[in-house]
Amino acid sequence: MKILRPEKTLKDSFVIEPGQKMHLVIYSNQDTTTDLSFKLKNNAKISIQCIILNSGSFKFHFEQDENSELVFNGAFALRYEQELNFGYTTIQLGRNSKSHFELVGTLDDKAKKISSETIDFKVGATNAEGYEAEKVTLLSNETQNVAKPIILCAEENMHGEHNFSSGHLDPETIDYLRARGVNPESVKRIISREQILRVAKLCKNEAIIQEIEEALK
Amino acid sequence: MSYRAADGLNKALIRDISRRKNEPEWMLDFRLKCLEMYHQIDAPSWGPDLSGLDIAHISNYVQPDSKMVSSWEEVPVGIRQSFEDLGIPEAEREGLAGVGAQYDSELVYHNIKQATAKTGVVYLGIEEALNHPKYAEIFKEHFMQLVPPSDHKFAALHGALWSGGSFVYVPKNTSVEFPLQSYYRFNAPGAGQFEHTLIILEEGADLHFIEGCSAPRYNVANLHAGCVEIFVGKSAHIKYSTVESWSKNMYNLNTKRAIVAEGGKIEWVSGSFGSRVSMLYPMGILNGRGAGMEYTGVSLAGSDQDLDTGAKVVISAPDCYALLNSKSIAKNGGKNTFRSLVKVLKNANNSRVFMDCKSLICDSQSRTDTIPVFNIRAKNADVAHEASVGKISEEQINYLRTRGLSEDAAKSLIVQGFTANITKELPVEYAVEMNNYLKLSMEKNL
Amino acid sequence: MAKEFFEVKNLKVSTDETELLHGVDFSLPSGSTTLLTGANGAGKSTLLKLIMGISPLRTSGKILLNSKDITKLPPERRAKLGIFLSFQEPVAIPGLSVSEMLRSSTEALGKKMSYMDFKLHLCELLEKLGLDPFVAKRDINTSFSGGEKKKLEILQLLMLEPKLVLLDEIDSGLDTKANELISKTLADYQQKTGATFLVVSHNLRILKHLTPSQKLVLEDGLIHKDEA
Repeated sequence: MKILRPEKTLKDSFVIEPGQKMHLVIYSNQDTTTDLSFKLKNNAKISIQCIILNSGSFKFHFEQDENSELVFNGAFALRYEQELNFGYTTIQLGRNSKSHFELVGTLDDKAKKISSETIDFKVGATNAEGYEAEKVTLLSNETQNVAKPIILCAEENMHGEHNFSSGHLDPETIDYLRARGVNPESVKRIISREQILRVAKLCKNEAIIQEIEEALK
Repeated sequence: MSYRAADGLNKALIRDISRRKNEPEWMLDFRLKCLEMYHQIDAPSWGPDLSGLDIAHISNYVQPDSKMVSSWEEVPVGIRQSFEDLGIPEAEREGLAGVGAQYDSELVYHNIKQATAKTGVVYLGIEEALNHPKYAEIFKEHFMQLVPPSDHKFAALHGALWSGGSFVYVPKNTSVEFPLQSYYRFNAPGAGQFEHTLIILEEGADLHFIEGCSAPRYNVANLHAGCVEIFVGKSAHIKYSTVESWSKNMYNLNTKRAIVAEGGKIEWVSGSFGSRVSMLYPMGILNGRGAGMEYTGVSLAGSDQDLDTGAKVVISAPDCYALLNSKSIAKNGGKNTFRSLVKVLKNANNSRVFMDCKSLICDSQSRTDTIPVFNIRAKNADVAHEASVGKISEEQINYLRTRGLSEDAAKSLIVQGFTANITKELPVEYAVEMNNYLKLSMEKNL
Repeated sequence: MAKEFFEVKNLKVSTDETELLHGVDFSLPSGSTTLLTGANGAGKSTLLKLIMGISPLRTSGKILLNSKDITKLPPERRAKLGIFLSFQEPVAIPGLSVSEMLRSSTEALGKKMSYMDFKLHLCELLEKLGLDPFVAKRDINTSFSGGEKKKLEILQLLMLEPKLVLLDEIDSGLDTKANELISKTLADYQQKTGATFLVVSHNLRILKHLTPSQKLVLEDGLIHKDEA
């Protein structure tokens, strides 16, 4: 497993050789401009957990050859006047390539998020599958949530799906927590925290999970 | 005597059009300002390739050999035949409250059933409304206010060249029992059509308006840059249905927009099957509490077609809702793009938007792209979107083949089923036409 | 020796990784009922799909119907020759009503009847199968219960009047009453038309009114008769 803590700028590219696996954890708690690209060769696999707790600009670019698999789980919690610019593109070139992308997050105070997720199925990506999902909870009326979930398709024999949702805290959840003595402000923090930790726990690294838990306190 | 303006877009043409129509001075000034704007605004940097469209060589005004009449028998035989082949007069007798038929740039037939007229419903040729002592004021107040010419290059072009179209006014609490219909037919090669539809619904009014379009195929490009503006009053409701099967030399760059007041509702139903290029995004501006918009669209792009369609909704009031449902099919090298904008502003509390897009791609020569954009600022608004892209299910094809259908017939039935939720929104004769077109298209590799 | 109505000869089937059927041989006499059993995953459904012509797997061998070699025929031609497969998992086609589908199928199979006659016949069959008349307008296999979907398979069978009926677990998911109805309906159909049945069933409930004249077992990629 590789852990990246992007500083002010981070630009890097990775090639995952045929049959190899890569596990990457990205944890960002400071303003950053991060630009990462990945080439997945035949039968390569990559799993990424990306936790974002501050402003930043993130670009992820993937190219997938035959039988490659990409799983990306991202989570963010923004507040004050933090701003996140998030771009994700996967170009599925090869037969049986698979991609699975999920991004969850909360926006509070005057925070703003602009995201663009693109799955691009090229001719030749026979039996390829691509999935992207984004779920954002708005915790104040001053936030802005902009999203552009895109599917481009030139191959007949494939399947692509995306889901997007933006909404507020479920009133039943709020009532339940408040009935347990949790005040409204704390409800927001609990929800944000819980979403971040759910993704963080996917990395199965206790040290980094604890570090993130501390940062969320 | 029929008249065709020389090719090219210039002030002299504009003045000529305005003079022939006996327009008031303000309209000529408006047209000239639009022409200026047209030259200043750039063409969109996104979307289909418009390089095949040479405005300078599109004859922007074609007046057919007929004046507007209100009795079908007075329409010249050649023009009448063209519409009779499309079933227009029959449809009027059977199930419509009124019909407008536009041939190239001019309205040749406009009629409104007497019963409908008695309720105070006004359905006029739009140029009649422009000069009408009773409606001129309301026309001026509303014309190109919802779609200002500065909106985009082809809105400006429309403002400069508009000709023909319909004006509809439905008074308070009046429900128009049968649909009103306009039908546009292009006959002249290399011509442009710029009809304008202006619909005003007072509080509690209810209307179904149907728009149909067709044109024979020519080798030179034709341009359709029409405009539809709809003002939906408090608790009023309109369903606006379009079935478009322009021929494949057509550039269809139509702008449709509705503004909806408190409790009102706009339903857009859209079938796009024709044109070489389409850029079509019916839009709703929901700025009254509880306003609603529904969009149901189907698009079939075959060979040599690039259809870029979708919908836009802007919500700026609380408790509003929008439901958008799109189905698209790309085959034989066709290109389909679903493009949308959902903008939920800060005061759109408790508003709800649900959007569902499904696309079928039938072969690897074709292309289908889904490009939705969301911009959400209201904390208590719920927005959800699902999209899927895939091929026609092999399982479904095989199931039907085991029941005796050929592969092509199976695909055709599956596609009809895929688009069934749209056809059921259309009047029967349009639904039948749409299904026939789908069937023919799937089976004949169009 | 009299020619059998239906024969499978030395049928081999393989995927990219493995050979599923190693040379299956069996025959079905005209008007008979044959029960085919075997463990889960043995290849029974695969075999029925092969007979119907909708299996994508690599095959060799011969399939003969009335001595005619149908091995290379597409499924719609086999349907026209009178073969019918009742699916274990009937396929949903949203937007396509039961009525539209049946109308298209009957026309494709050359069964000439007026629209009124078609509708009347459809209503009769729906009633016979204990299905609501509004079922005709609903989308095929969409939002139906498991039992209803099986009844819809039988509805199609009765409408299309095949000579060779392949039943893939028709009794799975049926309650006692529905099973009784379907079993009886199939038996009546066979008696009236002389159709030949090949029945795949685990729980054997469908055999309440059907009497198999032979029992076959598919095991280890081969078929043998069950003499028990």
